[in-house]
Amino acid sequence: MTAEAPNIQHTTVVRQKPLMNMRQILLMNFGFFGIQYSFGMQQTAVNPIFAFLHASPSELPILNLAGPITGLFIQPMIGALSDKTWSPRWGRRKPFFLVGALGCAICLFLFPFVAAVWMAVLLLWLLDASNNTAMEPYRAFIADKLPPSQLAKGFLAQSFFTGFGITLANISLFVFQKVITGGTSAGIPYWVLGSFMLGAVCSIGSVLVSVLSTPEIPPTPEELAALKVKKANPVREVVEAIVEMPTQLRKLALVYLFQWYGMVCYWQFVTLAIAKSVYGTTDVNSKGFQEAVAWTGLVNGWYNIVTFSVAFSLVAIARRRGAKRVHAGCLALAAIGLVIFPHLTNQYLLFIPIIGLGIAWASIMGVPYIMVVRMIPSTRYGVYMGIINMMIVVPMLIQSLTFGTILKHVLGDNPTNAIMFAGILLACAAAATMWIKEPPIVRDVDEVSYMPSAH
Amino acid sequence: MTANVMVVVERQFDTPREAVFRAWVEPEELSRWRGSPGWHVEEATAGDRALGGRHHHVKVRDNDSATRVTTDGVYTEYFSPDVFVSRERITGDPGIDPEEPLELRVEFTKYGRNGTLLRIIQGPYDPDVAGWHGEGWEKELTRLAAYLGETSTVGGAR
Repeated sequence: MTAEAPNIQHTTVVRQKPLMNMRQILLMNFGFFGIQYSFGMQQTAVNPIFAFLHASPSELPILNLAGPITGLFIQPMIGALSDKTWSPRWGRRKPFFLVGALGCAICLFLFPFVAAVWMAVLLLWLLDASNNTAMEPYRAFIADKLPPSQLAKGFLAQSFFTGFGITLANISLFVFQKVITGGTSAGIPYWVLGSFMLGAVCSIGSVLVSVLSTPEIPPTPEELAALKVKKANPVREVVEAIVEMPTQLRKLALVYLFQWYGMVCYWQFVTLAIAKSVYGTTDVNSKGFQEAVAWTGLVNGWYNIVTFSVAFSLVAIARRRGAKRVHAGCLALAAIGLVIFPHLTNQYLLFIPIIGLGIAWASIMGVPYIMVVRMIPSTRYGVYMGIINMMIVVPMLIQSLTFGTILKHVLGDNPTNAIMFAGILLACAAAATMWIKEPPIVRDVDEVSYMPSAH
Repeated sequence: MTANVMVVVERQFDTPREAVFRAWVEPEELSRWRGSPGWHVEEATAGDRALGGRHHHVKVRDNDSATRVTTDGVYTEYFSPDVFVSRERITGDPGIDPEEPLELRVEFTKYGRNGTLLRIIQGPYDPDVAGWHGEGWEKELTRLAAYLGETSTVGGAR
């Protein structure tokens, strides 16, 4: 780097990355637990609040638009901004996920006190914006901190905390419902309030643990000079990054199209499929349907337990076989499971095929990022992590626009077929993953043992 | 002190990765840019450019030919033009123990229309010397950029 050429793109970026032990990696990722707990509350408890406030079921999709819309716009912008940020006191990524976690905590704290649907919608938008602000820089933080040989461990620690956070959010709802009685004047039960309060504490508390225990790696003086010369313009950064996106990352967009379209189909239709196959009903007012709702909670809780149980096992396999093969294999397991799942009539047997989805969920939340960070410059981790989130929410939006028609005209309005369709899409995602040309495998430095002789 | 710091160095070049890769593994090309300013390379040789292939070069101070740093390496991964990994014994450098082999990993990723994102991962180093090695790579990559600039101009005139 020379003073007269302060273009960050052509600056030599030097980073010293100390190898981290397992305790340090877990502490660094612990904040992801709180963020995912908050996300779990958003997924599981917000719709019941809309229901308590007398929103009609047909209004739920539009009330939930906050997720994809904020994910589409906020994450890439936050990512681009964090790439261009450095504060000697606060760091590069930490200010964003600290502010995000604080926003999550405030929204979770206020949520149970809403008295009207519009207030719940407003808080959901703020909660989702906060989740997005926290989540994306957190992934870039891992990529910033770890040397390549430890990235798998870092990203799969995030998978671990994803499963753990969402599971605990669901368990808190289940347990508090049994032990806490009464409700607010707006009709929201106190057990819901208890879960949200716990979420608020977990969200900010766990992020603070990570922030205080893990320092960020400062930029070199040359990098800093280049950052100062080029003022942040997040929109331009996002557009430029999309134009210059490596080919292999474009292929990942195809994987994500199938993968996330399929996952949304599963989430939307799993209850209906269980109601039909196990309880023999499609009537949402029937007792069987209510039991299907409760059983879906257990099935989803179980696959998240599988997720955090297997996450670290995938690290060793990814190192030996490559991230691409691991991800394709995990998606194939989920595909097989989902094709079998809606045909089972015994409610207990459902826990077997859904193991495949739990394994795939662990991979989805961690393994692709191992490949991604090796394809992109470290100075643009933030903006590309945001673009990858666009690859998640765009399929979700496409699904919401197209799947109704597909279900009606191709799948015979049958939830069994919807789950099988999700399985087929995950199989397509597995095939598309194999199309990616992954950079050769990163090995641990201590795996190479022999000494070159002197010339 | 425990050697536990990996040095990660990155730079983008507006040159196709095949050309950047060649600049690293062909002795006559490597001789023209390796070494910090004030140093030059002698005796650059290479066996098979493949897994298990050996390579050797000596960096010599321009104004003191007795100051020599010798690198002997073996390729433990070799995928042209994606990546190579070299297990290296470095002698003559006071900051490096020749009995402790270092691993040098160099990745070449296509980036943009026809550019290359180069990423060097080397270590583990003692924390005390990691910064100094990072600075060394920074200087060498500036020379590599200049070398690639010259050769692409020559190529264009041909």
